[in-house]
Amino acid sequence: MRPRRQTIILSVITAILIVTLLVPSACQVKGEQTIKIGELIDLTGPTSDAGQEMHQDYVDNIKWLNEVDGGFNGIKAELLWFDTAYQIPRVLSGYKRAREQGAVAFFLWAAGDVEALKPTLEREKVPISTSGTSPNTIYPSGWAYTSQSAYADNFAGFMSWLKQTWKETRPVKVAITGFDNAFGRSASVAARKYAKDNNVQIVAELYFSPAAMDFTTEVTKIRDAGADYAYISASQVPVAAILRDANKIGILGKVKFVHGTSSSPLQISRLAGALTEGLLYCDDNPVPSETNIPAIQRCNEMLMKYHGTKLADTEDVYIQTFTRSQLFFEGIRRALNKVGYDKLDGAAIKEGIDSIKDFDLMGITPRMSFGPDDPRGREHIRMVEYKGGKLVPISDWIYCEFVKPE
Amino acid sequence: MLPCGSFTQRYETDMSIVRTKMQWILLIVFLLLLFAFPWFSSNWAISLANVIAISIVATLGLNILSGCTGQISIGHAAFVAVGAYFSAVATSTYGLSTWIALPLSGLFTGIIGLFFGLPSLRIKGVYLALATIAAHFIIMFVINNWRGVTGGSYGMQVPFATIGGISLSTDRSYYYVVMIVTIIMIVIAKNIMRGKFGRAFIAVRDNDLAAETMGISLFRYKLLSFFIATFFAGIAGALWAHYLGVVHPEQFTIWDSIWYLGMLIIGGMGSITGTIFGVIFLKVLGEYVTIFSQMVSAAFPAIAEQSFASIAQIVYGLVIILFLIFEPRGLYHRWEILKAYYRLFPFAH
Repeated sequence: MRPRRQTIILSVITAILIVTLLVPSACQVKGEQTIKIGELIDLTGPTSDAGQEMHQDYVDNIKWLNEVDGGFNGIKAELLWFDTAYQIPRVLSGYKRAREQGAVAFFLWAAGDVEALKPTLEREKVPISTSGTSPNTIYPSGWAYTSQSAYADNFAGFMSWLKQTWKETRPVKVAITGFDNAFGRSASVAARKYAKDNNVQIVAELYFSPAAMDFTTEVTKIRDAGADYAYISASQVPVAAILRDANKIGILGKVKFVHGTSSSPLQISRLAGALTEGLLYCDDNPVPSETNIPAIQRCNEMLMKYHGTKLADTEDVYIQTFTRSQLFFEGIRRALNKVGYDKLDGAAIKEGIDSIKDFDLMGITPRMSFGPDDPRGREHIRMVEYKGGKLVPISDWIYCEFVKPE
Repeated sequence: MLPCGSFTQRYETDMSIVRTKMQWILLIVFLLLLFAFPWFSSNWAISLANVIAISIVATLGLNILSGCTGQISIGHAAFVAVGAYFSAVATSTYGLSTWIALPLSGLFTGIIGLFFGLPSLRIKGVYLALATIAAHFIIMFVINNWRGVTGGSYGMQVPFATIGGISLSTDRSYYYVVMIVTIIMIVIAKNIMRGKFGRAFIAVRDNDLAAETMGISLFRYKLLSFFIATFFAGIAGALWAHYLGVVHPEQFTIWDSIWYLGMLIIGGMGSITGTIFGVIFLKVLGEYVTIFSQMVSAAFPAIAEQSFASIAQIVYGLVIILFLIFEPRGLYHRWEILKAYYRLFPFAH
């Protein structure tokens, strides 16, 4: 009877699949001392456009560390990556699996992921370096670190720049638009605290789904609100699409659009092309044209070695990931020097990261510091403008207030 | 169908869920293995089991609503969120015990479900599905913007459950709570479905006009179905909140609602066993494609891992599509075929 035979075959296949799930992953390097760093990132899903780019950059940093720097005092690093697809159950599963395989620290992606894991990180004493930096993820200070300006701090820095440069007596009108999540809404936390002090009037707060593709409603509301500036807290695809729709209704150029970190300028310029002319970016890294900075030279060397290319004129994510990786590696290195390989754990790594003060990361200024009360690393931004297909700094480094959650 | 040679002689035996000695033995052995599972499993496997069990509770509710009563709902994740946030607020803001907050979460969510179930009295099918999508967005909008109560888009911390001063913050300790609650909810769902309410729900699903003609109040039973479904969702939400220790709006997206429906369809709509199979199948498949993508990318390091992650998602979707093409009645139908084969062995018919 055919259905019966099919059923038996399906049952056997299912049993085999379940058993293989319980077998340790074949990815593990067996018999060799390695320091395992977990990476939970969106390689698929609504924010995978940024996640895929960042993952490749982490891989390059780990490869350089192992092949050129000789690892951590001769001990190789191993990156255990898991695709979380913007789903919290997959974040949990990836974290548990990586921990089982011996991960002592993690690179994390979205603010929601960090929030979901926060109690677990506290309990298991595991430090993470995250690119998802809403106020709640990094405050109160605990086991989450970042080496870029936090989302809310980034907007606070932008408002400081507006205060310095706005010449009129009336408040400068700013519209905030972004993802309808902790990332997108972080700017409004900074706005509520510091807008008045910086002579800023928030005229619109518009949030959309990460999967949204049309922003005519948002740009129309920005126009109708009479905004001077529109700050976008979203990844690169929505930023490019907003520029497209702004151009469609004729406000591009009349309203100055600004985007914060976690949007890749390279991808934005590829998607939006000439529409990016005049776009502002609250950047916390040196720009690719600053080739006198050893960190930029190193990024170019890495890109040449692994991809046969160099930093594009609007590349920023590579530099961002380089900074994040190197600071985290420095923390691990210090922990290893202090306690040795056998006693290396999350608590030791946290102590190592906290001991980083005025760190000279290959010429990147201002220098970076961590501490038990300040997990930010990076406290300054610089306003950068897209000009002729390049990122051109238009301000000096601006200190960003540490925006704590309400 | 009973095993070959087994016959019932009393009405009570005929109506009971476990009917033979062998079934009792198998059930007891299964429960013993279930409760012994954490002692021979990894932390990851226990965590997966916890997530599966919580999803089973949520999907059981959806089974009663969509599978038994025929009311399609694509807003179920929002009701799970209501339960999670109610329990979070009750325990962290008002200091209520988790064991009191748990059933209250179900009741509160059930009352919210009654309100959003009102459109079902006027619309059905695709239109009702759209109304439930609207319910999802309304609930999540309230959660995102009612900052003073819910913490808005930053979520809120939730205290871990405790028993006699012992915190159930680890996967292993919380596993027993989740399993006991899941078993209770399965028994409740089973008894609802084979009782008066279940028969009424099925009548409404099969032909609501005929059901009304026969005296089944559509108003009463449709709303009751929504209440029960969202009660289950509320319980699942509360379990989830105390498992993670934090609630956040991004944990309850519209995609989760769609996946709950997907689990129901894969498992077999209208059956408890099918619901359980569907949840286990999709959750385990998701884990398997992740591991598969890592294994293959380790074997072919020259190709970027992103490619394998994307291929894994394609495989995931393909398995679901193939399943729906070749077994549209769900895993439960396959299970029935297997049982029939076993019970009739060695006879073909």
